[in-house]
Amino acid sequence: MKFIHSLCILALLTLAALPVFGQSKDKCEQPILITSAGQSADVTMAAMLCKKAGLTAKAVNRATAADVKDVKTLIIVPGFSSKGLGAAGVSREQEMDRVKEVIAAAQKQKIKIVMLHIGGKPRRGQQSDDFNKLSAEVSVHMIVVKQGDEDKFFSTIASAKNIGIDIVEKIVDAAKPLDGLFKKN
Amino acid sequence: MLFYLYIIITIVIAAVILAELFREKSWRHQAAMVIILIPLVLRIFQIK
Amino acid sequence: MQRHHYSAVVLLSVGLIVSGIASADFLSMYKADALHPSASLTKSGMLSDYVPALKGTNGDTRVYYYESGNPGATILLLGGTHPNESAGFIAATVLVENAHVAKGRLIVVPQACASGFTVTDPLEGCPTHFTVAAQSGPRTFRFGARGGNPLHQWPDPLVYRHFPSGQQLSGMESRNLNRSYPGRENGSFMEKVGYAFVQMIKKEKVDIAFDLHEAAPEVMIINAIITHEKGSDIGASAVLNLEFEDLKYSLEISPKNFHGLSHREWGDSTDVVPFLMETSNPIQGRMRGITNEKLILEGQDPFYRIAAQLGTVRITYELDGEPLSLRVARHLQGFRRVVEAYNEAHPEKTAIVENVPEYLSVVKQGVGNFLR
Repeated sequence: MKFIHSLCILALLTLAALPVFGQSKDKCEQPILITSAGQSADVTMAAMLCKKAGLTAKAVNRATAADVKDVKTLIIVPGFSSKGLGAAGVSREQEMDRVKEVIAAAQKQKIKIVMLHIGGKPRRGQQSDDFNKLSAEVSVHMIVVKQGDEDKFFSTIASAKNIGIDIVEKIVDAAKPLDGLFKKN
Repeated sequence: MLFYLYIIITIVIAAVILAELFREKSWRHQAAMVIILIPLVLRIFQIK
Repeated sequence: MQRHHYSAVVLLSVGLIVSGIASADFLSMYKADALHPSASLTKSGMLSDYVPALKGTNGDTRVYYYESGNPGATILLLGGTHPNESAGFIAATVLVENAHVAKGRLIVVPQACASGFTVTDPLEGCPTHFTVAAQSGPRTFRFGARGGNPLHQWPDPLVYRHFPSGQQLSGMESRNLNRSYPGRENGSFMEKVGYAFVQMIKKEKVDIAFDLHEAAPEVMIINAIITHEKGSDIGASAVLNLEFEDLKYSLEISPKNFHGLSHREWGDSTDVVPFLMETSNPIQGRMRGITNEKLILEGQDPFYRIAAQLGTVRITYELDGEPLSLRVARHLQGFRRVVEAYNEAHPEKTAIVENVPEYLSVVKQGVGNFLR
């Protein structure tokens, strides 16, 4: 009986320790490439958040498969901006193709993808949600500013696909979970 | 040039309507002519 | 004289009286709004100081200069680029009547498109004026049109071809100041106005410039700060700082292929870092109901309220409305935070503008309390 008790306690301890090991194993690594999905200027703010969190990140609005080569984590900042697409001189379809290409390259090289949705309501809706869905579904973790998940769009994807998600009140609050996601150099 | 042509056309139309106004026997038709004259006058004097 | 001659004279007299009344109403829009600059005003000038061809025309407008005497950055702020976007004009007026510059210089043009203040947009049923309860009592301001007065630039072409890009827009956009940059000296009336502002930016060596706007609640770029790519870091920093105060803004980068706009052309043709800010103004929207002075001041519209409650269309509309005080407060706070972000990015050349009313003060006390 005593042996069974000991065995149960050992099993419980092992189970309890598993997520800890899992977490440390799943931590993302640097250097980071930040890119947009929809060409919103939120990428600039994402780069600022990484800087604030002390992470080594390079922001490339229109990153291609070639840019993914030397990085260990890809942060996708989704959100459609007609002005942003105009600034980049591309159509929505071209942007979608580029995002798919970058994602495919990252997945091929087993680079972890993190989705960072910080634009709130203005980066939701018909035009944005294709980009939001695409980048959310391939991510290993999502960080979302609350206003963008009022209808549980991201939470639903997270629970359906078993993806970790942090919902934060404000953009600046995203720095903390972002910091927690990465192994320190 | 186009501007002056436009003003001349407006003045001519207003003058024709004004002349017709005094020839017209029906006061209802005269009232309609006056209503048409109002925007023409405002345009000739560059008020609207 | 026959009987029908008498009726012609009587009816003609009635017509002339109606024309007189209508004329008085239309001409009242040419009466300049009285502004009362703060004691810190260094000098005032005219836009025609930069392009003499504008002198004496309806495109000429007053320019207010605030110089600290301490070397620093030069800020330019334009209100009234679109005279039916009252919050931009009033925010600029609040600055004219309150600002004190401790470092650098501030140049304010509250009615950038002076011609557009002399007319309202046809078929919109908009009021010509609105009254704000100011410190000194009621003050009346003009509510103009989006573009310049067609009497001042006529006729509209079928297709407006922007200079120098050749971009084609609808004919009426030829009277839109914010499609007329960088303009040209010998161009159309509005191109001359646009050209004068670009010359001002160059001559005064403006470092950072603002163009204050408003848009209908259904427009996607509401509560946005739009900047040229060279202002993206400053804009992002300002947006983050504004978020600390629970003021949500989205940052947008000016499209490279959309020409004539201040945030594109000022940035391309001069050294300035331009910022355009937008607030939500129901009187400009297609869904609005009664279009009157109350709507300008209180920003409450029952149909936008229903739309906001239903949530089926994407609009930016608070259920309590979008009052003028709130819209002006957003512009002033956006201005303050962008200038701060600029100062952080350029510590070697900063500008300090004091006495800019705080967001909460303007919202709680009303914008009239900051107008003399």
